[in-house]
Amino acid sequence: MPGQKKRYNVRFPPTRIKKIMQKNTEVGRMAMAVPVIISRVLEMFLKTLLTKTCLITQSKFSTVVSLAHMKQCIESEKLFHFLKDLVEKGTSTGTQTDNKAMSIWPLYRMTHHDVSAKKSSEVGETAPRLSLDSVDNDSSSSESELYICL
Amino acid sequence: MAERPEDLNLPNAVITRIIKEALPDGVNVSKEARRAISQAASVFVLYATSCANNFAMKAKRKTLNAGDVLAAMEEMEFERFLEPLKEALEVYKKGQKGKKEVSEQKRKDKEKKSDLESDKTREEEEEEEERMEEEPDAENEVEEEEVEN
Repeated sequence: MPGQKKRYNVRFPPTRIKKIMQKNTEVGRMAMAVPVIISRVLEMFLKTLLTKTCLITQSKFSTVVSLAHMKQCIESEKLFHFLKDLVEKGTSTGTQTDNKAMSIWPLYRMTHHDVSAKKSSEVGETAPRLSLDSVDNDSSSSESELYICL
Repeated sequence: MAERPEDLNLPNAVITRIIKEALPDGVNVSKEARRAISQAASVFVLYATSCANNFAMKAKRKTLNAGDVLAAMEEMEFERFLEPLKEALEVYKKGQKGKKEVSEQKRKDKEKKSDLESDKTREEEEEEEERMEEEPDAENEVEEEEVEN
């Protein structure tokens, strides 16, 4: 539309944001402005996180931001403490991406239970916690599947 | 609903863009860290949603609005974001208002046109109007009803 400012590509698709938000079953409708400002705040948040992590990266004379740097950043700033669990589990195999994001946040009620998709990657770990799709969890295949049961 | 893993993540292209803008030249991000960033984004959305929803519920509203999100930011101790967010909100509202004016103007122009033309033309206009998306005033905070799940 004419007159719309297109700020490069840092805007997140409102529909996607809304879908994520609606994983929280308590959330129903929302004003159209909400995904728009969430997108903006998300951008600001990520930039803050990255900037601070980068300071750590540079202090270690590295040019590659690693997970360890992120972990250190998250632990050092109270602001990022809600991400603590994410990086605690972050050192497992790289495949359970989606499950991890959804499983670490216990405050919201989801349509599916706490799917802790920690697989055989964790040596000596007991079986995964309550999981609906336990049948599939045994496989050590690379793709983990998130079943959202309604 | 069927499984939709991709829906839980935000588009990689946008994440990559943000990373690029945030980091100085020459600095790169490991694959694992990139993944963690994407997940952090999702977690952040969920956390913010949860907070915002609490405010809406306190006010006995079933619809989340922008004010709830702003209140959530304060709650989460992201006060630094409030000013830019308020600005972004203003820009958005103006944009919505502008859209409404444009569509109203279009409608007026068409009405004028129809005065000069026949009934057949009028029928066509009415179809177009129905198709046109009505952008309501941002102040009214249109609610989206999505019957998912």
